[in-house]
Amino acid sequence: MAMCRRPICVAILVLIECALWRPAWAQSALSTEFFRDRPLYEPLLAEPRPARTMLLVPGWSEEFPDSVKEGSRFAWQISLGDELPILTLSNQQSAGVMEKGRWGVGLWIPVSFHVIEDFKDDSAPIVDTDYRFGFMAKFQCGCFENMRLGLRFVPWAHESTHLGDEYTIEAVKDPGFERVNVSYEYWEYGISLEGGGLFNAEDNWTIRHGGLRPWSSDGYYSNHLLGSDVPTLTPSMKNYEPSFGVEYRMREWRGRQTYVSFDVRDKLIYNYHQTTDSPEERQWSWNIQVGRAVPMGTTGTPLKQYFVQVYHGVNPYGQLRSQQDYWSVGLGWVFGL
Amino acid sequence: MAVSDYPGRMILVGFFVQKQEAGTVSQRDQFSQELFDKFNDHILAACSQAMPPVAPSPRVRASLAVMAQNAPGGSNAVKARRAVQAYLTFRGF
Repeated sequence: MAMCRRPICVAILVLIECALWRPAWAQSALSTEFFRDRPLYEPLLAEPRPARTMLLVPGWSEEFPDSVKEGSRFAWQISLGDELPILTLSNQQSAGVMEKGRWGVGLWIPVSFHVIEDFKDDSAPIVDTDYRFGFMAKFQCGCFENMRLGLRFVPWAHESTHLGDEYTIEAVKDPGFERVNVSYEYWEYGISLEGGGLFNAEDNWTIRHGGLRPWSSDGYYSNHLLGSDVPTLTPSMKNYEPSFGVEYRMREWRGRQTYVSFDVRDKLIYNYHQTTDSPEERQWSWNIQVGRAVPMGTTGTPLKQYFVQVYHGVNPYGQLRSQQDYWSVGLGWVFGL
Repeated sequence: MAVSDYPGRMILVGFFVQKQEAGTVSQRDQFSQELFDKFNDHILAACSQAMPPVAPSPRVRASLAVMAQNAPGGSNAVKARRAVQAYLTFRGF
């Protein structure tokens, strides 16, 4: 538990330090705003579980562990969500990213739903739905001449995952099928450096590092099957999930910026029955997007991005995270206000 | 660091567009200085490249800065250039 608290303390101290820091020339009033958004730490476009509204259709996917029909399949993915702004505090009055010498900090409530539906098996079953919500503090400062530092800290969040009923009806025909309760609370941090002018005066780049860890020593899932109180499952142990990401947006052309965004994270392959011969393992799981996005500050254009996405690694959905070398690919569409 | 010379009325418009309120004098002064720091040099650069070059007054620069503040773009230069292009179109260039 002490290990879990250390990053929280560091994050809080950094936030306080940055909030108190004020250069002599920046004689500015604090702007406190409720329920207004500020772009302090926007999710990386290739982040696999962002709180945003995204469709991946048409999409294709690797066969799932309990699929009836063999082989890859047409499977679309839907994410619905948003980061709900609660309170922001900044020494910058004007909207937008933090300029040099300015900082902003705030509290958000991220809420999101993530669904994947299989169109190959009979009745086109919803395979899995994951729900996430929590509390999130974000910070950004124009601490450097042409670069911004951003921090994201989620002190508490919850993820609840649910296999689809039609998928489960078919899966239970296999005597070896187990319905695992993947549900946990976690904390998460992120560090971001953002800037522009890498190859020309109008491009944008982002470098990210983050990490996630469940609060409970039980890990990511219950040690008993759903509908049973008997502990038959071995808890997850290698629970820390580090991530890294990079993103590059080119010069705007015809109202959008072509971009490439890449996220990689060392994900745990859930092993519900660990033994010395079959220990827990991890797999670096990566997600890449290449597409076109509206520039920051665009309003009145609901379609924010369209892109090609390729994912490879641990299946990101619920108890299917026991599946390694999973892949999915598709055309993505992000909508927003 | 240069001090903003933007007229208060245009800054009131920009402040109100963003926050739907008048704000205090110090808030608007700060807002004015922030817009000046973000966009003024870019506005002057874009205007100087027009054919013929344009020497915008403080009132015009202020309105261009407010437009740039509400323009899309990955950088302040892009936003300012978009605002100036709209202004030049308006002027019939």
